[in-house]
Amino acid sequence: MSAADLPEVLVVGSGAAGAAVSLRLAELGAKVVCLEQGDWIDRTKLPKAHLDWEVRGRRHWAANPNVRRWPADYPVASGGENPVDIYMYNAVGGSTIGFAGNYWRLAPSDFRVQSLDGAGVDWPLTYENLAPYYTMNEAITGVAGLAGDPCGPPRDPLPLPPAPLGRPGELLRQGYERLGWYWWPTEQAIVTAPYAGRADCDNRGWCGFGCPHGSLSTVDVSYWPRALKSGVELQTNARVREITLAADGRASGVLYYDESGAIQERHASVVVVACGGLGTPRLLMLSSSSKHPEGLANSSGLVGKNLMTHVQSFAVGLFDDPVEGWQGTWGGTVSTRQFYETDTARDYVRGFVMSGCRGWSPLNLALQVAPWGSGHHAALDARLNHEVVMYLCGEDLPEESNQVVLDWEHLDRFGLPGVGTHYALSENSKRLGSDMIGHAHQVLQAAGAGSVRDFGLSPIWGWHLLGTARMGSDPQTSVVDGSHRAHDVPNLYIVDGSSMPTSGGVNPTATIQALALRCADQIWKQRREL
Amino acid sequence: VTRAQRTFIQCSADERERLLREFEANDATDAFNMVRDFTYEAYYSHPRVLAALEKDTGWSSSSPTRGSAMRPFDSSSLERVRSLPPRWRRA
Repeated sequence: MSAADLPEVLVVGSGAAGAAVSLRLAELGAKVVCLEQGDWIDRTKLPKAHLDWEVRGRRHWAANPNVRRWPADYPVASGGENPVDIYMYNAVGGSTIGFAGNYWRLAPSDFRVQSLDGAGVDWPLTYENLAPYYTMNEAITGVAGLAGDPCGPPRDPLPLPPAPLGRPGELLRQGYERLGWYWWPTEQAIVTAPYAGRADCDNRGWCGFGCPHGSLSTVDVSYWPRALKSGVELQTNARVREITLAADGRASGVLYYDESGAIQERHASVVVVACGGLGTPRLLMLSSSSKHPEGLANSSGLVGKNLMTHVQSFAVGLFDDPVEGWQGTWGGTVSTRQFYETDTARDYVRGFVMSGCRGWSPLNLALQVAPWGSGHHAALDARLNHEVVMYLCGEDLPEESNQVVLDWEHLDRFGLPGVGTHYALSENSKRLGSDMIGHAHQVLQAAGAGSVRDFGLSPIWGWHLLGTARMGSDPQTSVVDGSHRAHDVPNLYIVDGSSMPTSGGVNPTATIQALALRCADQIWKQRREL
Repeated sequence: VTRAQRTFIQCSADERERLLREFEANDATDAFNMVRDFTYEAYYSHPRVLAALEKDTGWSSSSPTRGSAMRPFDSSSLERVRSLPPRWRRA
């Protein structure tokens, strides 16, 4: 391979972060190659393209890779006091292909957790540093919402109007009004009007089970078409085995398995790892060597540590009248940040959001509440189309004991180890979670629910896998610096959920993508020294 | 079923339930739960069952595959919240 053939930047992973860093660098003028271990999603197989979408969603589309077992998946094991049920996808678009599109900016205080609240760590950047990239990302993605929420700083307008609240959202809105609390229409990565050649949402709901209409802004439909037009070379079915190093200690490229299982080598001037909160520490640990015996970029010992998942639950209110819970964007009703900021009157630090959803679908609900036998139909009919669901998400602070390790007892199809997770809810998280669930009951009761049930705090839902290669200014306490550059390897960058020093209390995809766009600009600025 | 000298389908509803409860009570392998889940999945994906549910409860199971027109968001409902003071911390 001649020098002219060398890609300037090699990105590993095509998900939320990989797509964003690839597009931005290509549009700045870099030559970019992206390696993705999975393949493009066959959109004819999206569950919601079929009447039996609930069954397909539990099997072929299952969010846990151990259940789904696509060729690109690797085993994940869960342990610890509160095992994490891992949810992730290995495909073009990464885990966005199974997300519901809830799309939040962090708050300014999220970047100064240690300074303000004496917990966790501060970020090496501020909200103001990231705000322009949030705006850029919202335009590329196609985000629906409304500026002006008094629970956040002033911000640029969103490119698309919010989705309608529907009957479930209207009930919750009435509850918030009766309590005198803050509420706001939820921002979503959903095209609510024709946008950038994409069709507007047609209200099918159940967004996490695939959007055949293409209105849900999974990055395979938002970022990747534009990235490919910009010249990014995307190679699918490429499972990276390790990052290779040159004699001078710099990253020289990667070794990967192609679809046939043959080892291939790819060289680059810059390597960007964007494999997600589990995949990134896995790859760094797989890239251990005599110079990096504990894993690449791991002189701090923090690769794989500080796994954060968010404190999550659902609360469900039962209403006398039908709620029309079968239509509308799943997360697109109303949310509140009434309890987002630390309140010293409470027995925990940090906070949470509560987001209205719709109602459960028949199979899902039957498995939850309708025991088999003669009382089955009565139990289901009493709740179907009478329940309103609220999603609850709170901040999970970093704990070194919550971690990701290689699992050599469970191997992928190439003989590489899977990952094991060890996780326990901290006392702060338990107190926060208990308060969060209590307030959700309060809202639903104020909205008119005759009774409320909730999902408690266990099992831990592993949608948001964060913090396992965190950024920071001190090489002793972080893996990458404020530009996502590895402290130990000058031309290695890491950007995805693993980069987040703290979790905030909201769905993280918007932040991950904003970080990736900013990372691309940092790489471009630093390219002369790389 | 062997004791009853009939196939499961030939048993009465009460007999079937009793046999299944025995199966559930004596299952050490999680096989019953697997059978139950598969049964629920088959039942709640059948077009006739979904049509009956829609008739009885109003739940439209065809909506996720068919879609419907989206109405605009009514921002007038935000009047009170817009008047509230900022609720975020500078950092």
